[in-house]
Amino acid sequence: MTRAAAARRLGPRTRLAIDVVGALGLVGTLVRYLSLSALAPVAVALGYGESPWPFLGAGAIAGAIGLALERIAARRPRRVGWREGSLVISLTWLLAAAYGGLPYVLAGVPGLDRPIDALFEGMSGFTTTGASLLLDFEALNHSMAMWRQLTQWLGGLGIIVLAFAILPRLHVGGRQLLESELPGPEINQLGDRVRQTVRRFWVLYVALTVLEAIALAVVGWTGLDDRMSPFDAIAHALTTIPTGGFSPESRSLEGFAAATHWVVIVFMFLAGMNFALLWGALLRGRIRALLRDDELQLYAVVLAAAAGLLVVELATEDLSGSDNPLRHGVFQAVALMTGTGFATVDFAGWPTLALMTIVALMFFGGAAGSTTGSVKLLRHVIVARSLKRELRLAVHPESVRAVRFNRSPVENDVVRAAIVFVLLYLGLFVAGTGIIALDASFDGPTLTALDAFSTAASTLGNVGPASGPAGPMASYESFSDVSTIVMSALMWLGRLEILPVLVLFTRTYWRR
Amino acid sequence: MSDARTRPGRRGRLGIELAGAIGVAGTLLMYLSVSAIVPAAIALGYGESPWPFLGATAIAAAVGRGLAQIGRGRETHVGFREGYLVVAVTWLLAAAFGALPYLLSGDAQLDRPLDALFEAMSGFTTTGASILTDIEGLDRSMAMWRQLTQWLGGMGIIVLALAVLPRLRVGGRQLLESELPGPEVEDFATRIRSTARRLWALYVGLTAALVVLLLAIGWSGLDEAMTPFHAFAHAFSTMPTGGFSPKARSIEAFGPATEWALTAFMIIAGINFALIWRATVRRQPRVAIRDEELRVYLLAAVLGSAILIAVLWKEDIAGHADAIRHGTFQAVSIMTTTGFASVDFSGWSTLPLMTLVALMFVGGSAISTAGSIKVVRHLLLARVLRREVRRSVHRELVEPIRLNGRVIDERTVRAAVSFILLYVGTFVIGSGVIALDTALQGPEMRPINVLAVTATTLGNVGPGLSPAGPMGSFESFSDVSTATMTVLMWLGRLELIPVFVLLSRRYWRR
Repeated sequence: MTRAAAARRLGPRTRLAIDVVGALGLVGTLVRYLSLSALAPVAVALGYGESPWPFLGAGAIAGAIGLALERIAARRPRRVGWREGSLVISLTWLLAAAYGGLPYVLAGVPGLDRPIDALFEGMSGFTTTGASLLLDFEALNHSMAMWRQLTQWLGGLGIIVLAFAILPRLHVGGRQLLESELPGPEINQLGDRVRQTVRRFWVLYVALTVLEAIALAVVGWTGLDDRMSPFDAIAHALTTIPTGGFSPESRSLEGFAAATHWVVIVFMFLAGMNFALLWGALLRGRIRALLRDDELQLYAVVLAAAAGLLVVELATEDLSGSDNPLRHGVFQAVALMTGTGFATVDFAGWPTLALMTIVALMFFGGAAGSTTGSVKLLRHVIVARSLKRELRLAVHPESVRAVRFNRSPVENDVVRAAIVFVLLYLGLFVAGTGIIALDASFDGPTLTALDAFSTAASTLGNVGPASGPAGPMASYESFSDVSTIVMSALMWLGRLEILPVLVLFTRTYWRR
Repeated sequence: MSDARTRPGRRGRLGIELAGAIGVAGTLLMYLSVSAIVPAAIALGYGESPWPFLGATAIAAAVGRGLAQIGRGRETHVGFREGYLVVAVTWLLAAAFGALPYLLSGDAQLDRPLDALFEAMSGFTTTGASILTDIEGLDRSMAMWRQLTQWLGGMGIIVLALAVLPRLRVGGRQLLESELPGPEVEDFATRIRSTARRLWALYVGLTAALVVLLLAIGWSGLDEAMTPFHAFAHAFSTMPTGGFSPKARSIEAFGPATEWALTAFMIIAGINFALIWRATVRRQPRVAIRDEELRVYLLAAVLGSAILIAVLWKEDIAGHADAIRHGTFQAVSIMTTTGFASVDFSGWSTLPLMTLVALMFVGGSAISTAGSIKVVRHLLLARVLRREVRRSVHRELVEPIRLNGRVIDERTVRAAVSFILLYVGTFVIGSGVIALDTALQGPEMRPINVLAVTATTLGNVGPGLSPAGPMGSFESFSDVSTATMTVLMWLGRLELIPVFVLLSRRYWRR
């Protein structure tokens, strides 16, 4: 008897090829663990004498939902394999965003008390985007502000698991490339090796965060920056390393001093590097491998070019930020390329060339194996080299040469995946821009074409600020609900590298 | 590099038949030079000076003959690899030839070589971007020469689409073979030649039909402005999806009847000519109706028109009655890369402007005179992406891409995907250069205007947005931008690959 026949006899439910219940159970477990994170802002709230109830409530609700999902699945044997992975990570990020938004709703934070808005802010947090609907930052108390920062930091932890353990198995991104840089044999299952790898990069992530918090606190203590309180030091460290970009300040980093800006520049740059290479260089002294990395070289070249352009533009024209072109130019280039999205000046009012540079940077992102979003440099390298190969094929149709990365050949499947990703990314960008422009022309803020492009690019690339009404010192609140939902979806898609979410909308995924 | 390494057998190390390729291009130029006799005759008819045209003919014929001499006897060695060089050089020579009359006439608007080259490149690539600020100040013969460059460019594009591009798998030889089944005994070259002749006949026939239609509109009094001169002039730039007009304000000066007639012929000009041939001459209309590319092409035109009509209607920009006419005309004109304008759209609001710029990336069908990415590639891309999403679930899935029920081979699919990526890359780099240059040397441009100007030249559309809008001019750009745009038009028309290939060292070696 064929499988199809057997399936037909067993009724419609078993025709699903996906163990939905099992996947839900796994999601439940993850959510249950995640719910514990609400204890951190509870502690902050108690310390500052604020109400801990929104966080306790959110933790309790998330814990209960997690438990319930686990219970549902507990009765049946789990068959959760890699195919269910897409469903698990998509749902987990969605639920995490909802959980992140809960405290805002429970506390009735002005501007975030509607579920759609809270979901947007939560999604922006857990995808480490940094786009915000908040207008009135004064209305946030310390614990709530810290919760916003914490959602990004937790998101960053999740991204490390995605990048090193899950996405490679789902054939998204450069699997072989990452593996070649990891010690030990090929990853066959999420076994000890992978767990060890993830744990190692978590340690690096935590260490970088602590290091930055200390550096910023020192800047504050030594009087280099009077405004940098310990609270701000921790808050900004929590959103720099995940390349998030939330700030408890309404005008981002504008109010801070030069020393703070330079410290943040350094850590944003580090956060955009491949963690595997960074680990190797820092702990194993493999500095040459780091310096000879194709991705890092492109990273440096793009950054230098963009920063140079911005610096010159700021130096020659009278713009916001012209008081110190070097610092503001470099800061903005690093912040936007790595998708962090901090701002030291309100770049929304910059002229054409500078704005176009900024939007172009949103399409780069950092290295694969970092917490950055967007296309990522690895894919740019692979796609560019594969196009070069295609041109060679036009001259010598019989030539067979592999695309190379770091001097070793890249499998054709990886090349194909990179091309498909770039095209899907472009397609989503165009579609997102179209919907946002269409919606804004009927029901929303007046957008220039660039504003529409930049909001779509910024949310899909998990950057944060855009131009126009969504500028770095402004807020996304003027958009209609339709646009808000579309942008939440773009952040979600962008963070999960598109395919894991997209397959959920195909019939093929659920059947057979 | 040391002398010792280069001296022995330098010519022998060259991997291609350079002299032969130049010879072929020279021969083509020699034939092309005859075409300037037409405006010379018109000049005599209107009592204007024929000398600029005769001079251009003489120079081009002489240069062409000289080049042909270089390659004499070696043409037989010219193969498909030399084809890239031949088409790239031929288009460049054609543009230079087209520029000669402008320069020789000494008209103040085009007396600089770069400007004249831009205008002529815009002609022979059937783009329609113009550097002129006072179009109606041109002599009638000169105005007709401008139109004629586009019409001649269109004839070249048909040959390009049939003979050269299929080799690059950009047009898809399979497509061609399925559309034009010929007797099996013919070899490929003979078949190409006979097919090209047939499609040229179709092209000439359609142009004649449009002339007759426009003449009828003029004579019947439906449109007073449509004189016989304008009927010919506009037919010459509609069929090659060019978009030049001897009128300063493009089609705005004409009435609704003319606009609808042009809309219809612009749509026809963007359809696969082989398909039109089959549907009309071979009486197989069902093949056309079932053609997937045609369906998507029409759907995109309807969708683009609908958005424009809705916005024009809602914002009451042109009056409700005219919203349908202008919306349809503009969507069709931009999408087919013609570039006529019935209204100055550069002042429109964000959404319609973005729609127009988006349409610049659609283009017409393969084997039409339209430029840009072209619908068939969009179709292939969409199917590839759908397959790849499915393949990410089932790794072992092997599923061919089909078009009109026929399996398209993977190399063709890959070429389409690569083309789109190259196109986007070229667009991004072009925008960057123009943004950089305009920031330094003016004119002041908003980001969407930069993108529009790049997309319109690369896609061989024609008008951009302010200051290069449909009623504006490209003259305010600096020389750097003008040169960049000239290159973009050239690249876009030759479908990128033939030119990019020339830049690689491997092309010239071995």
